[in-house]
Amino acid sequence: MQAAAAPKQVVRVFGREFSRRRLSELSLLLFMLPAMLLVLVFVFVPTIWAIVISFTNQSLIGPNARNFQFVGFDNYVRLFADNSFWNSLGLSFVFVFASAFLGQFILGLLLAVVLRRAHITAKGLIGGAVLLAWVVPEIVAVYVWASVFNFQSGTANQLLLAFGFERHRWLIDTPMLAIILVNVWRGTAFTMLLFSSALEAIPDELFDAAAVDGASAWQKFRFITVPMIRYTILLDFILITMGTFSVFGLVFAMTAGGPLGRSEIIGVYIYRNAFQYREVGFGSAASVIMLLINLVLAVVYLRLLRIEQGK
Amino acid sequence: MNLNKNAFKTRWLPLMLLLILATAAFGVSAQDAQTLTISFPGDPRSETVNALINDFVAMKAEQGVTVEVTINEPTEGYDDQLLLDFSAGVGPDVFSVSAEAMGELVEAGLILPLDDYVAAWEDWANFPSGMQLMGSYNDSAYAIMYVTDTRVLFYRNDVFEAAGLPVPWNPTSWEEIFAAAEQIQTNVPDVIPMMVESGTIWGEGTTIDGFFMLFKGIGGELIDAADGKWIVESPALLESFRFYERMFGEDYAAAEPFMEPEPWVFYLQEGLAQGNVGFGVVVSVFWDLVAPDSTWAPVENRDELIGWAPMPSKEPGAGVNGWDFVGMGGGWGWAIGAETQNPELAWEFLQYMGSAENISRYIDGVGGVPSRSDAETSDFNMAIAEQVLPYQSFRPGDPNYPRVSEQIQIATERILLGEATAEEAMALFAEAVEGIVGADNVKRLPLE
Repeated sequence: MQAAAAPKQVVRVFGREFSRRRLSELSLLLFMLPAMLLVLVFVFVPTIWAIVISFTNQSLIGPNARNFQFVGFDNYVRLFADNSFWNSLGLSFVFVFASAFLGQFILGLLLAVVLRRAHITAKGLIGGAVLLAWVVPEIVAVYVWASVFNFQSGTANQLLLAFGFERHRWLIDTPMLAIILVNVWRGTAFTMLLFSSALEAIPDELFDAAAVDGASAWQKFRFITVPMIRYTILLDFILITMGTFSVFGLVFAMTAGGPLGRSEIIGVYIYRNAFQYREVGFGSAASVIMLLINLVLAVVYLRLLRIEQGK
Repeated sequence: MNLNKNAFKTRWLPLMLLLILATAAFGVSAQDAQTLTISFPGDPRSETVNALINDFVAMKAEQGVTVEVTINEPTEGYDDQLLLDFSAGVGPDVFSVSAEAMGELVEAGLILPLDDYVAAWEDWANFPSGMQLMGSYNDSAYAIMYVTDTRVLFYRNDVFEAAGLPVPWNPTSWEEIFAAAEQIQTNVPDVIPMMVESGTIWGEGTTIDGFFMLFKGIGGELIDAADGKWIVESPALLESFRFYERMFGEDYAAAEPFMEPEPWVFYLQEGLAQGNVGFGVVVSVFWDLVAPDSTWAPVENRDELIGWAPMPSKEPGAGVNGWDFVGMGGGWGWAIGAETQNPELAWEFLQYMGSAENISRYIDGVGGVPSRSDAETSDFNMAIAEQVLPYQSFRPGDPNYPRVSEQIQIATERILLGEATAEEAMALFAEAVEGIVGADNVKRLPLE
């Protein structure tokens, strides 16, 4: 009603008349164009290209490097028959579940809840320490932890010795535990930050009222905090599961997938096939499967998010 | 809509045309200069090679030719970067190529054959036949080698003296190597007696620096020259794997550091360079890496503390060709991209980089053994050239080699983890290689 009542403002551009409203729509599109172009060129096109390549026998070298041929579903048939592919997929799920859900999510939430009530100094110290892990570059983090896990003189084994235990071969006998620990250490800050800001948004009155009603700390958490931040919980799940699923550098530098493939998550598997063995087509097929898994997860999460938003 | 189209025509089309014309004009004017795209692996070569390239450009400028160079020098993943450039159609005009990558690049039609060029180049005779061969594939020359390397035993004089072992040390069999390790273990218990590169983390080093230095010392061949089949079981393979079994079984080498990131830091930088490891089979450039002025692992009085000896065969005469000693070669050369627009300039660049003077400059700046007999070099490199290069062997140039090499690394990893005996590791190796190259392309030799 209001818009119709207002006098129509007209602007002339290039000898043509535009309404103000139309012009602002157009300028919006114009401003978005560079970003959209970048997404198109660097995200969309490579993705489509990877899918196309996954149906070819392209390799990085040899006669198939430039004159590759379409081989139908051959790469996928080979992939599904490859035991180390299933091994890497299984390890990836363990890695995501343990380091993203059990580790980063629970620890991050716990830290956010505890720090909300903590003294300002403690808040700064603990929050800062957690954040520090996050801002350290991946490779630096790996070398820091490699020295912690070092068999002879690493901090972890020195502690074990101090408490009267034997040295433990961290990277040989428990490589998955090692990479999960490092990833939790690194990733917890992100979840903590996300929840800290969500918790800030909960009015104190709710907790005060619950306190008057005699609610316990757990009850306050269960019936006030969790319902109020459930949207953030879902958002965090999306971001950390996908982020963890595509981890590569950390594991590659730490264990290179070893020993004997016992920590070879899907990212390392793809690298080994596409670059070490130079079979880009086959490696792309594995990436496409990874993409599909991520896509399914994304759809499920987005569905849940929409249900949450609808409430 | 009509209006819109007109606006496009009247306003944007002229502008675009102008832009196209402008770029075309720029292109024409730039053609006065000759362009040369150069790729080589960066650090630690970057400084020296860039200086050489600058001098080449200056030299051409004096001759009245402007050369515009574009330099790609990735430090990590050089081979991958090179292959990606070629497959994207933006391969370099000239590039540095490793001896082992050359066969694949030739097969892919990416390197220009140099036969006609070298035939008319008088300097070619100054490259020993082994170096000419290393830059060749299927009897054609493809690269001008500028540096080579080999592997030798490096040992600590101070550790040997503390263990009561004679210095200089010149072992002539594996038994003498194990005997020395045993004596160090007994008399200098704080020191890890020995090191032969093992496991998958050390990557190709495990295969060329470790495995082949043993395997060639007992006459081993991975591919039967007669029928081209991969030999997946042989007495030589078994004996080589038994070497690892004994080394780890007797605790002469520590297994754990091989499974940690950068095992070379533990074994070489902190180990051999600081006297925490008794001896090891190591690439010859180690000598330069522990020079007093090195930034990698400087050893103040290197010449007194560190000695070297050629790696012996299992017993005298047991090596390939009946040799008493073993050397394993790698090396780098300059090659010309098959699709270069300017092969004459590229060849000039290769001649320049391959001159005695410039190879000497490279060796002086970066290290390694020079590929020319008339290049100036250190006493160490001269001794290496005389005592080890005559026993030099090379890796197979087969396209399946990278995968088979990884299986060798896995076999040594199984042994170092204590999860397989030498026999079991060989059986699993045979199975895996059969899976890679096909059952028809493997053969098993009788194990006596």
